Amino acid sequence: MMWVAWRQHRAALMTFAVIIVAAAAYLAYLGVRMHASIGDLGLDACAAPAARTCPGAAAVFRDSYSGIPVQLQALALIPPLLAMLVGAPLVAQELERGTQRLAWMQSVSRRRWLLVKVSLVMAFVGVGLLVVGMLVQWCCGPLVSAGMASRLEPLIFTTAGIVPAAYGALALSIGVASGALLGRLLPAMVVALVVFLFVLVAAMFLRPHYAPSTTLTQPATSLDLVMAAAPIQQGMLISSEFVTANGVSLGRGASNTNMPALRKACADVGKPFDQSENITPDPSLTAITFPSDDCARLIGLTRVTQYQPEDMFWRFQLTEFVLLAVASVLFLAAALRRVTRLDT
Amino acid sequence: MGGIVEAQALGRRYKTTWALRDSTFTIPEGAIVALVGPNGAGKTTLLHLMAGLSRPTKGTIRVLDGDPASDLDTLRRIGLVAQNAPLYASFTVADMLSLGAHTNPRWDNDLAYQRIDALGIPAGQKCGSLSGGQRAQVALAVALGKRPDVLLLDEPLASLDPLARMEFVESLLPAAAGLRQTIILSSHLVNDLERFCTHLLLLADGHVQLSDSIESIISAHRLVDTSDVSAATIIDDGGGRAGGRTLVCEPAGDVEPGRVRLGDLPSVEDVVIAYLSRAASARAARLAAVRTP
Repeated sequence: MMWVAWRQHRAALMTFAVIIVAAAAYLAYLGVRMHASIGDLGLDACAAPAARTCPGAAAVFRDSYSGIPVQLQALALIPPLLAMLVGAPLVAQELERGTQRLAWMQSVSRRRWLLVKVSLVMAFVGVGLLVVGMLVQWCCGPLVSAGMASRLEPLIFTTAGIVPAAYGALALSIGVASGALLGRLLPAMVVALVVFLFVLVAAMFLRPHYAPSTTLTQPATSLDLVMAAAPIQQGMLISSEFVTANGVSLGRGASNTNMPALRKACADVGKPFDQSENITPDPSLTAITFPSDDCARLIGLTRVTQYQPEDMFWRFQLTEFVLLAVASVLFLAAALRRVTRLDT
Repeated sequence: MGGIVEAQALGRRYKTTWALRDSTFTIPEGAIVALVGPNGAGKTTLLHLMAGLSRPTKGTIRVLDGDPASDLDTLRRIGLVAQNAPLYASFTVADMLSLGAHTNPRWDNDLAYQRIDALGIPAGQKCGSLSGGQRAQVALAVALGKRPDVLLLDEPLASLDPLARMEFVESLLPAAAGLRQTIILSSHLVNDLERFCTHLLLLADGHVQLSDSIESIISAHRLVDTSDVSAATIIDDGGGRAGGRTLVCEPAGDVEPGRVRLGDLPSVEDVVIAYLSRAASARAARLAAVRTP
């Protein structure tokens, strides 16, 4: 049966292999270049995060490799394409062309027929995406130290490490299951894509909760409040909130809705807005009044940040890998159940 | 009971319509059965039930004393050429035979290749570019290479021109004789099959109308003039067809000694047409009864 599965899927598998080899070669080249640049710019000697301790060298690095994070994120297209072009046709095409009446009339149980086909395709996809994932993870090192990307941001997280292999397996399982259940190729492709994207988005919302988040409480200046700049350089931001010592929440930063509360807080400590200095560096904002640094200090302005630090990467990878593997098994079980019971 | 295929009150429903109802019949070993009926009579359903591709909604079907839908050992001994002879278009003919070799423990590679070679089908040709007749032959070679004890052929002649039909049938029979196979072929035309079949299984409207050896079927029926009907069961009165005569069924045991049998022996076609015509009028009457309460 392995021979049959190989003969049937070899064109798709060879195409996949060519794409993977090309991607791997490019990633290896890119990784070598970026790691060399890190050394040349002396970024490896800077204390982490290098983007803050050696801003000049980090900026040079960023300029040279500004397009790379998007290129890595583009690899996230592979699993949905696998779901549609490899997973969905695996059973649906047989049912649509009537060839299951040929395949299932040989001396091989339907169960074995499906499992051998799926195992072969999954082995290819798993190994290929594992190689690519590990290379992406390796390429991320320089990008992260230069402050260009976080391994925990959704599209990098799903294309780096061991998780891409699990997404590949899940995409195939979803494709196979929708093909087996719908029996027609085109609807199966559409449904497989929709279901896969749903799982991808669901995982994105679930991911911050894989582990208790880290809370960072820092005194904030008036400028922090106005600019509402990202409070952390690396890792996954979950929430960021400005509060006063009295427990008044000012949300994510200065805005029209929290301005009255802020005015009142400043007036209460004797630093009303009309006395505030113009602290904004942006001339277009001068028409708006902002609290003075004195006010910020007196009201005890604090920023509370909840986040997952960058070094949670492997733990999260493992968690997501297991979740995706379980989901794959469920979709495959549904496909198997359908194929063994299908009347045709 | 020695039957290779035994169906007991077999029924198969698709959603709300019964494709096959309450069918009981036995097919003996070595029979070459013509499974005949109009389009939609349930022939494919019945063949798929025998092949284990589909499961009965009611009743049972046993092939070679096993359940073809769940028993892999039974499935190993059944060959099917499904309707339109499905093949993988991207496979070469040789690949198709390799598929058979890799998936069947009893595979006979020489037999399969002999058939392909004898018909002059190039082994390197892609199945997607074969003619209808060649497709049917390659599908048959795969089914025969499995060395099945029961060979099921669903409309094998449909895509063939008259000459190719002859060749197909002639190429099929020696294979059956050599291997003591039971063969069941379906067709909506009885003329294609009557010359070489030993048995007739007539389906109409989801019911088995007749199931017996062709010899017994012929000898149990007579063509008579309408006025001559006496003790026998009228199957069909000719329905005003040109030259149509009444077909009656006379069970052999009911004939009194010395009594001269009425009428002439019918042809297989006469019998088939009479039974199908009776089924069609029964169906029309049933539908009329539903429409006019």
